[in-house]
Amino acid sequence: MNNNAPYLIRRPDYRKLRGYAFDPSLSLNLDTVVINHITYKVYWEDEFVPAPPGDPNAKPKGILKPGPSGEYIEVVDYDPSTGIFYLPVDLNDHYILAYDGLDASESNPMFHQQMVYAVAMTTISNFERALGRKAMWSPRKVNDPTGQYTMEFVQQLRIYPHALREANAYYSPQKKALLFGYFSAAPEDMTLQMPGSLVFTCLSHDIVAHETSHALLDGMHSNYTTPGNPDMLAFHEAFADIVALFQHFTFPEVLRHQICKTRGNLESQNLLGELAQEFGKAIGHYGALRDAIGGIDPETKEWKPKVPDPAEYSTTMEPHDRGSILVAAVFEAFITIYKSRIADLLRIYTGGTGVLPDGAIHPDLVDRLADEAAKTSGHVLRMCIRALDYCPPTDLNFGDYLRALITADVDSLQDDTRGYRLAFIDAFRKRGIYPEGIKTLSVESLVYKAENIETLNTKFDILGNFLRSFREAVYYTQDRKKIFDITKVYIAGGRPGDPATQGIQGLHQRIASKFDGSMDFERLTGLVFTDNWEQLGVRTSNAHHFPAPSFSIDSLKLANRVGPDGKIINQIVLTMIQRAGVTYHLANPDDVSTVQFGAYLPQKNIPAPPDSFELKGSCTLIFDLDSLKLKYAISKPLLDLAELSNGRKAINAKRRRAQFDFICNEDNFNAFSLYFGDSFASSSLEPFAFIHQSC
Amino acid sequence: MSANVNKIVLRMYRIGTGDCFTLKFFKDDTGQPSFTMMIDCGSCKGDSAKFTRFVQLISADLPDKRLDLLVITHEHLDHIIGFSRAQAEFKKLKVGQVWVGWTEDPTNTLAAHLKEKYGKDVKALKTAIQKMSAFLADPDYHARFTGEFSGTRIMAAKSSFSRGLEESLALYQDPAPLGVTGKAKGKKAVADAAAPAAGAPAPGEMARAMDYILNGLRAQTGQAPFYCYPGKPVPALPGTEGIRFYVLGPPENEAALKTEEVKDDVYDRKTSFSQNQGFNAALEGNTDEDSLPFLSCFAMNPDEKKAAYKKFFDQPDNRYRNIDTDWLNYAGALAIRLEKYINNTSLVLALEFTGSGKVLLFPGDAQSGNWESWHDPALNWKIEKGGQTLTVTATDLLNRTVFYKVGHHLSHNGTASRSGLDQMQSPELVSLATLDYNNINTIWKNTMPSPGVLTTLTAKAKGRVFRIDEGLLQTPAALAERDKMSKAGADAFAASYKVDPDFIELSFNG
Repeated sequence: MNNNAPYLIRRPDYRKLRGYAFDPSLSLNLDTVVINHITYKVYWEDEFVPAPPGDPNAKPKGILKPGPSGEYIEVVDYDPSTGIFYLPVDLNDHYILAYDGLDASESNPMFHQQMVYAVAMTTISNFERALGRKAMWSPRKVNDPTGQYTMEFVQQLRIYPHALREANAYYSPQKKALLFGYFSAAPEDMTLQMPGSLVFTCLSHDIVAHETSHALLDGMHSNYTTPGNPDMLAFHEAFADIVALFQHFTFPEVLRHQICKTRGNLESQNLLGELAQEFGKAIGHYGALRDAIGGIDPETKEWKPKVPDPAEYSTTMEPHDRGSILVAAVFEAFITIYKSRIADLLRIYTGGTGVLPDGAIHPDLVDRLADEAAKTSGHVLRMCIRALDYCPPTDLNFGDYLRALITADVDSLQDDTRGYRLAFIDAFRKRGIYPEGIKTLSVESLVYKAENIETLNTKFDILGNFLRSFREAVYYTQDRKKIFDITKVYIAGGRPGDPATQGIQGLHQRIASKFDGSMDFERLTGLVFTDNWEQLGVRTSNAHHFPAPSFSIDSLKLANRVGPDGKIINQIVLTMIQRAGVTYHLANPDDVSTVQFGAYLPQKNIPAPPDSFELKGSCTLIFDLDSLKLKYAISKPLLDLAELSNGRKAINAKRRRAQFDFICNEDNFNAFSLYFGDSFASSSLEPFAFIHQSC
Repeated sequence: MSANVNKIVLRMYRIGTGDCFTLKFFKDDTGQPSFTMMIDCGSCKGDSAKFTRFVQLISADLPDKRLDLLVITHEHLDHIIGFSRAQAEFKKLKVGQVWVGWTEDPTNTLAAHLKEKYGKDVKALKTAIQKMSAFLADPDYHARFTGEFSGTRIMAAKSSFSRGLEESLALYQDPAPLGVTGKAKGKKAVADAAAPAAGAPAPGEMARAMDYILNGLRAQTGQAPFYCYPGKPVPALPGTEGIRFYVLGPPENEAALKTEEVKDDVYDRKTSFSQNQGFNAALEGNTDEDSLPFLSCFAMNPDEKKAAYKKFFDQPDNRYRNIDTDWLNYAGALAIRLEKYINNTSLVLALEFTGSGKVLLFPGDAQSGNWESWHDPALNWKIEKGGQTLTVTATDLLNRTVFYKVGHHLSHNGTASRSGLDQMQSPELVSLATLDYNNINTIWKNTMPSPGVLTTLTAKAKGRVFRIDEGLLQTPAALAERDKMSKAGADAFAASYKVDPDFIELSFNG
């Protein structure tokens, strides 16, 4: 469109697309149909920027193609079980634009494509807003001729709305795609759902948001799909559930309806606390698949709130069940905060008695309560997403996440007048989730700290200047591929022969040379940088023409946000990983306690020896670019730090043993992974496909 | 004048992971049994030569080559394949009666209905395996993933999954003929993808085994097999005076048969799967509008479809995003469900010494639904004892169990907790598990032994637990338990068993 006077005809801020707020099942019930249809507001992807003149290959940017296929998402409606390709929807068709998208319809696959696009884009934009940077998908690893692999940028996440014929939906890290299934309902209560009717998982807001969150989390921390402890896959599940849950609270109409119905008490069963209604009903469980705050009592068939049980955390291992402990903790924190925020409103409304009169509450109060709930949920969602920057890149457990939550909050808000942090700590404590290695459960002890090590400060100074130049390079570009490419150059170094980048010495080389032989840096990060690394099972790298212990820089990201005192803070988040090969041998095969460990060097194209695993040490470093100081060091040490302070280098025995126990523990997730698990022995292949097999 | 049986000598033959038991009943010390019976003859691995040797051993141990009673618990490879691989040897025996579960009764309507229903699932599984093998044999398909960093592992994983499915199917069905797509014909098919699982029965073996059991043996016994129903009386067995036979399962109830795991009745609970007709229908390739989710007006026409497939799946930068086989992964759930269903149709027998009340329990591979059904209030037996009529329930029998043949090779769902092991109270309890780690299905390696079952069992049986591969259990817990036995107790125990390379023998005095 020829737009000579852009200020007269403004480019839209968003595209409106109608969809289900929950899923189609609520449209069958008079009670709930009013809240089930909402209009998603999705980032307008149709900026017409004409191709730059003189470049025959350049294309106009940002056009939303039929599919829909845009900047972040490509919907491909192919059903492999029937071999049918469905016609893609063109969201720019003027009829569709005029009416805020197609009518909600279970029988029109084009609506399915629209819905999946709308929900995925909404989730992505919530993420971007919380993190203050562009969302990236985890890169694709492609073999290169030398036997190494390169990371290729993945522009679009693929969504297959009709890929499976079962009650399942999952994110495939290998394909960088979401696969949704559809199936015939087999409900326990035939009055809630017609038996045999088709249920489409792609039409459930919760399921789509959940799967998209898996993809987004994978984009930030791609090592979380290779579990080394029972919490990691559970965390993936929990995080995805949390995003879906709190995203719901951003729908004002739904919120108001629920607050009215529950008379402000969001703790009792309500639609918002349940995940995946239709899905759950259709496969034969009452209520929803995963109910964060309570469940249906199998005997009375009535909803019952869930009483936190600290024993659960030590006994429950199945990822969904374990994850729901975390979801329940976060939800409880939310409720506590919400209650404290509305306490004064209720006092005013009831004249101090605190007892709500019978019947419906006043609509003005409903509005105010809805307001508070929306605000609180926005805060909680933001806290939960921001905390990801403060998590170690490997071996995450729930305790680490609590520390990350608190640290992230302290980093963004000076005065916690509402007691958000205490609410979180309390909720976690009630469920027996405690971080390791801290002496007291207080905000001050939970916050990560970076020791002020004088000998490192000058080196950090110089490094900081380099990181500042990285920020300059990346800060002004909106093009995600460019951001990816620049980051790659800054990590690995400039490409020889490329005038634009060849002068740049990469971060990896800088760290390798600057901290080579630095025992202080070893102590800070828990990774080997001095000598004797091969004895510990760490490979030698000659990447920079001198033998050094191999380590990788997992990610390098900019963080811009408003700081505690209202000023913009500029930080760099940098994560490093180091791998050590560990072999094990059982002196008595029947007795796990007789295990003895050895080391091997993991090589790129040589398969690992039998009876071995890789122990990963990692570290997240957060630099403050304004002061050029290291602000936080969050480490999962490869080295035993106690031994290190005695001058001896040894692998961290506690972590090694914990990972060994995890590998040996037969208490695996489900029958499927037990029977066929060896087939997918490396869980980086399809970790979510079988976890999501319906129970 | 017939005395009562006062001793049973039980032998578990160590063919592999699989059941093969003989029982000899003795009334006196002459060494001549008054009655001989056999329960199952199968194993996960073992060829014709191996089975023939074992059946010859068994035959040599039976006086006059006479087998008074042959019991078949259920139609799984590791319980019946011997009847195909060593059929010639079996034909040389004199067999008195054959007992099988009512699920084989041709006149029973529920049995027919179940056969038809699960027959559909079996068909679907075979089709899924065929389709998957066809893709795995196609070099084009392989080429999509080989550029990826984890490409070889992905293909290896898919192949191994396909083999796992075949292994699972092979338990109760002859293998599916492996199809090759048109594309791969004439090209060198990828070797390991098309090979059937090692140790799987040759086409027709399972059918041959079942046919022999249900029909062929009639020539030797002179009668049709007896179909056992729980709670119903069994035919007279001359030579077994002093022993009472109880049939506890399989339950004549579809819901119970479908129940694989009950939440609080199983050690280390895992998930279970429900039926999925849509999947089966898709495998059949039914493309009329009724079975499709959307009207055909929404679908692309063949030309558009070809172009779309090329654009989205055949470009070098998106070939790895292919989803042609992912929907077939559900066949795994199907395979597990089928295996468990057949396990649940196991014929469950309890043998009781009428004098002392001691019970020997043989549950086959029964799972939760089957175990639970024994405690149905409607299931009980009325017996005459000391001039009175007593009512016996499954709980009574469990309380007095002195021998427990571990269900389903020590898997987590072959032994119920609340309905089963918890109720075994006898201080004389001894247990045998037909688990041989050196001869086992790959897909079972992770599920057997179940730590929950093993720990509880070791404690209950005071360490008197045997496994095919280890003989007497050697775990630290078992050793500790056995150490606690008094000298007299230990001596008595040592006298009651014998471990031979080919069998483990236990004696029970009435």
